[in-house]
Amino acid sequence: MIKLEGVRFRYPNGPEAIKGVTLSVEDGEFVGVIGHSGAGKTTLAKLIAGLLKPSGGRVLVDGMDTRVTPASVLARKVGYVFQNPETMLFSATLLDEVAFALRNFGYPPAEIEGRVRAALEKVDLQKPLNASPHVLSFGEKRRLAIACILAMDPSVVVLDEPTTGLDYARCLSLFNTLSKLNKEGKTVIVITHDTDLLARFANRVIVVEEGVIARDGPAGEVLSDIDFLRAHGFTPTQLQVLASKLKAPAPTASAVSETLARAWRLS
Amino acid sequence: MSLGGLYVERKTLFHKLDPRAKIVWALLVLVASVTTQFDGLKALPVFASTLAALSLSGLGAGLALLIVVNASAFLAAVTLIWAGVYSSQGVLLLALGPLRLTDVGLKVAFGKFFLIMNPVLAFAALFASTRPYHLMWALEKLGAPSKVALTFTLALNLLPSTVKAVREVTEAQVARGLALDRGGVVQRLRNYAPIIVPMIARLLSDVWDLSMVLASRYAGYARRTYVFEPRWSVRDTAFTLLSLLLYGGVAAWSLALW
Amino acid sequence: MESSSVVVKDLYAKYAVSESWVLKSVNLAVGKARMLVLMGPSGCGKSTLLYAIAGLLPWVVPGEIKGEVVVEGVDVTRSGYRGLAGVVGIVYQNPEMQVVTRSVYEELAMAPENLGLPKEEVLRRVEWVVEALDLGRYLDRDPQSLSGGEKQLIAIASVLTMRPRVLLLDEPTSMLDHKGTRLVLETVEQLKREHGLTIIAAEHRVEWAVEVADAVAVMSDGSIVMEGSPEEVFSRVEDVERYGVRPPGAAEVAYELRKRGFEVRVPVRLKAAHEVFKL
Repeated sequence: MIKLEGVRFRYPNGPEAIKGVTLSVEDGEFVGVIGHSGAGKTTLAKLIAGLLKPSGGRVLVDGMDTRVTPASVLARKVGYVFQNPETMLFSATLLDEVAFALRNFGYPPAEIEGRVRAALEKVDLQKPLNASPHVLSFGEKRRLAIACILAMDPSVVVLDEPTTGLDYARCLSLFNTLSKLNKEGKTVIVITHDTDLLARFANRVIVVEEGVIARDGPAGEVLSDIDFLRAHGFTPTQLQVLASKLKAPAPTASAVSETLARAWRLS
Repeated sequence: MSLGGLYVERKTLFHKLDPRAKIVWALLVLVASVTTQFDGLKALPVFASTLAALSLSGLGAGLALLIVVNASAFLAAVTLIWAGVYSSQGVLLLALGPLRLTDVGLKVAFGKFFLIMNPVLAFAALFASTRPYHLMWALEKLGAPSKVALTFTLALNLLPSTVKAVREVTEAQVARGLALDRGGVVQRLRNYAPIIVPMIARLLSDVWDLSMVLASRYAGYARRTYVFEPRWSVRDTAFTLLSLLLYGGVAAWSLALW
Repeated sequence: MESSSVVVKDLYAKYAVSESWVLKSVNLAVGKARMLVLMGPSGCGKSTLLYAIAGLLPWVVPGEIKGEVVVEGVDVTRSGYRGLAGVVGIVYQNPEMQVVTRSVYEELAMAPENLGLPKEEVLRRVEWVVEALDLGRYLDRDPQSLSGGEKQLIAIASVLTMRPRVLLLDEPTSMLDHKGTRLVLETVEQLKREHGLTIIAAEHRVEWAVEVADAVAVMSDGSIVMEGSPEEVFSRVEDVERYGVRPPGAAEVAYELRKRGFEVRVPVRLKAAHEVFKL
């Protein structure tokens, strides 16, 4: 459970990036975070993961204040997957790459291989442990980066724009993986522009705008409100327009077609 | 990523000088530093001038002093080495166990320090006050072939993007538990592998991207037109003459006594 | 008969590091002032095709091509990208990498300066593109400080100063947010409409593509596997999905309805969706 209480954040020599955010994320939620570039999404996500400490207010992860909790403890609770996997991959083998954090945080060596295998399996990366990360495709590198975080078995996973550079099939498979993790009990927080995927997989959507929360509600509800979306600079997708006109419960193909089918059967 | 490199947008005296004058000046500093490498005292006026230039160029005297302070470790190392080499010459100033520091040793040490420091500061002032566009133009005017001029500014450009990459990579690796200040010297060097490897990968990728963009904009296609051509003024002549006098004088002084 | 702006016949292409051909027997023709959108999963060859058409492969990117590529009458296989100066402009995916100077004016003047055009001509062209794309408010800004979408806009403007007749775009919006995407896509539409540019864009935003493209080509594993008008291609929802391309939302809905036994046309554009779903 993550709580943000009046959180403010200012980068050194910069303007205030987060201007007072209060929200809480319960265990097991699948939250989508949307917003324009510069709105503060990444900053907020890093504050939630404890990578950044608030300038004002506090962030509580399972009751622990991130400002005083050591990184090694936080990493076991909240994992943050950076946007560009190539920013972090450096090892000679997949084993070394995934084990890097485990070794740094002092996990017993006997446990390490098991955790690495489990993490790679969770992201469906079927390669031998001694394979080199550098020959992986971009999509595979993405999955490897996620595995590096999953190795510590955090209960919350935060992903920053994991769909950039991925084609539709890979986006879908990534979200399916996230959904699977969510069903296994992990809390998932995803920053993305892809609102159709969020409508399908997330149960809650938070809209960040200029350092504050502009909207926070059930995914189906927020994403069908095309007046709101348009007013805040988002381009509604076809599903969102159709769901809005038909008053469907969610802007997904199944919900919209269900609503239409019902209407037509009645007429 | 930009071809901005170290350039800082300001309206300083140094910014207004013709880029050719500045390039000549930086080269003169280099010459003077080479001639004074055995006598740090004679390098001091050169040092004062480069500090002045740096503060005039927009980087500020503060940053200049920051560079010097950070270079003090380098200075200490240089002093130790050269003091050792010249420990048999001159008047003994200090004896600490096996270390014998003489006045000659000290002068040489400072001379060697400024040999590196002065040109570095001079070129920093040059790059901070000159648009890469104008650098390219000046190099072409001074006779460098078009492609060389371009390559030179390319190298400058990749610096800030590399710096940015290092910052991002460090943040990501520290989040994975990387502790940079752990362990002895060898361990600390190893600690940097998780930062250097992705940084190099990023650098290579940036070089690739930059090449594609420049090729698509036909860099090197023909003799380049420059819409904004600096004009040589009286101020530039005065500056160049002054530089010749100052650095020529220092060089002659150090060579005559040598 | 419509004359073709870009003709590709039996094109094979690969990179120096590729083990086998990346493009295999690609054939396509794009008419003047028409827009073709290329779609397909990563690795299908979209970028490779664009690089070959732009004459960058193998002249800048090491590799090999065989076959025929003719752009506005220029035989690219013989002249490479140098023969396409003033014919083709190409815009890439990453806005950060396409802004290379600290002055918008310098950025815009770069290409015509590189071409060695006389000073007055360079100034004239910069003025023209500023007017055409309404860039006046950006002129005294540092391009590094612009948003992603604005950077891409400047990138497009920077190649327009070469007065190309063909504009190639390699996933120009995939790194942009909604605002930036809208800015770029509206500009591309405007270029086609008002300036008669032939446009080939690799794009994954299918819902935009269907509204403005004249033709869509789906690529898979180095070849074009589906081709036609947006309606023709995207109404085949199953095929499109099989090739890893996302169908427009309205098409997905129609497909779901068909599975439930309703006989409906598959609309691809929003307006058609309104009609078909009787909204």
